[in-house]
Amino acid sequence: MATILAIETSCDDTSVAVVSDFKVLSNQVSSQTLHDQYGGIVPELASREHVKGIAQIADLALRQAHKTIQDIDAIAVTNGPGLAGSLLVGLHFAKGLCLRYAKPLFPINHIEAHIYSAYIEHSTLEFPSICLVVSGGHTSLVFIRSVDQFEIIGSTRDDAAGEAFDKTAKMMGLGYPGGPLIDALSRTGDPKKFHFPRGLSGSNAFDFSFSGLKTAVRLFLEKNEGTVRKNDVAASVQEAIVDVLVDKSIRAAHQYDVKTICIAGGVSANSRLREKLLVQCKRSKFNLLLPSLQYCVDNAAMIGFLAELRMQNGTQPSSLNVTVNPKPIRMTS
Amino acid sequence: MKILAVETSGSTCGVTISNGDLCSTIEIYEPHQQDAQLADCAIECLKHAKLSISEIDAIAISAGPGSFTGLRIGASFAKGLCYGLDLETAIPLVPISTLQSLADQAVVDEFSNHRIVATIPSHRNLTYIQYFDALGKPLTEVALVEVEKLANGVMYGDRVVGPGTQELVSCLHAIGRIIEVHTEHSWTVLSSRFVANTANKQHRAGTLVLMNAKDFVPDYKQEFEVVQKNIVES
Ligand SMILES: Nc1ncnc2c1ncn2[C@@H]1O[C@H](COP(=O)(O)OP(=O)(O)OP(=O)(O)O)[C@@H](O)[C@H]1O
Repeated sequence: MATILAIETSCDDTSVAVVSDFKVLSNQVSSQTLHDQYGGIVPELASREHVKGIAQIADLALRQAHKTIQDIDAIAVTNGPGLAGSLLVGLHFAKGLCLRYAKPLFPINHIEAHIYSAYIEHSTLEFPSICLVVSGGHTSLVFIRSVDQFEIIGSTRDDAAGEAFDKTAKMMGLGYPGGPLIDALSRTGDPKKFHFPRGLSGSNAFDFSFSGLKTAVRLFLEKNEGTVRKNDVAASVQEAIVDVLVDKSIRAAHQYDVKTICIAGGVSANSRLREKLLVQCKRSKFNLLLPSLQYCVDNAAMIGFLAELRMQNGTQPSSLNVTVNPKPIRMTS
Repeated sequence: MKILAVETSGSTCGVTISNGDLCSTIEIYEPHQQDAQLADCAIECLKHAKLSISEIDAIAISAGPGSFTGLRIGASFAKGLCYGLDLETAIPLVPISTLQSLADQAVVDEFSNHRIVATIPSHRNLTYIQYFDALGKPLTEVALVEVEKLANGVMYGDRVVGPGTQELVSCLHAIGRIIEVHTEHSWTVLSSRFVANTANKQHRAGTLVLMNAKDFVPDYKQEFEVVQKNIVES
């Protein structure tokens, strides 16, 4: 049992959380809105925002958790993957804290934290399981054996699912980020109105591909824009993306003989994905772990949670010369 | 006053502890070392000074201008070191202008009347520059100018300091302005010793500015202009 202060600054959200005995006592997230006007993230500006606000956000997290820094047993921090400049801010703030208060440091891989995030709200750890990680930068199916053993059994060969949402939304002139906008439009659209390709759906492997869908949507819009309802297009695009995600997850669960499926990453906020997974899991009698939205997006709670799991499992803290590791690594552990 | 000074605004990674006089310095003069080495430099430096971090009265930091990434590494680390939920537990931060810390190094004696020119290279052929009098009092604001323009502005007898020195001297030769300027090898690097030195000087003069580290932002000196290639789609 430990109390952990966790810091996450891998992209454009500054987040600090306090996790104690696997419970999230606070999870402060400050989202940067200044990037909206650019239609993407400006790394230099993101880094500047992190520096400006990091200590105040730590204050908020500690106050909300009714803890002081002396109550903290360990500091956990994301050290990759992500934007180098952003990661450096969180890591060095963490190093400073560790040195000042003589606390052990646990660097955590952001994607690994996502993989285990569905367990935050489920006290029993049901392993093995299949985890569908779907975010703006990643789309993978992961076979989780235990707290520190997992295997990526499939990944996207081109765009991530989040990118597929964002890019098609952009083509439709919807704005950024596109995922939530398509989700909202789809509620009043007909998902069967148009047919878009389901990439690699025939294949037995667990890899994904969304570039064909992107091209199909572009050609479709060139031909039909203005004569079709946006809601129907959105719903049909969403259906194509969701179908492959659900199909492959269910197939992986059967093949790897697990009883539990979980989802993680920003796209797992998608209402249609949740709905369809729920139905399919019920049919196949799989347990579905759906994290609440605050744990689907980038957040420090998942960093603290995984750090505590690892600590309990005997992982030793890192020395303070650990560096950021911005590039995603090919993870098989 | 026990000060721990941090220099990461350029290719130096250094920590100095001073107690009026300099007690210890651990410093690496090589680019791209800060991420891995800064914390260890601080640990070693404290060990040599036989002090624990809780005995430190203030953290001084090279506040810029300089490398954006370097400035942020130093600032984030300092914010962690200084951190306390309330002001009683927090260690105050002392931001020191990097150009001022360079200029104070070149103050030789009060009878000299040569100007001090502090230079820090930025991107492309741009250099940050600030002129000081012989005692280290700023004569101008910080400017970001092309090296050629800077070379045309220096005068006979100027003491040129900072990591931009070499480039400036080469440029003087290139444009045929063969004038005598004072340079010294030990003035061309950035050092946490200089930061500590300036903090001490300000302390003695009663001009030291202590601030809440939480509110600190580095002095980037440049608004960041967003161009298309700087945007990553997320
Ligand atoms: N309701 C939704 N439906 C579909 N997509 C969504 C929804 N909500 C968010 N998204 C998508 O989730 C993505 C953002 O997720 P997240 O914040 O986890 O990713 P990221 O931080 O950009 O990437 P990564 O974590 O891989 O570095 C965006 O692409 C966004 O469009």
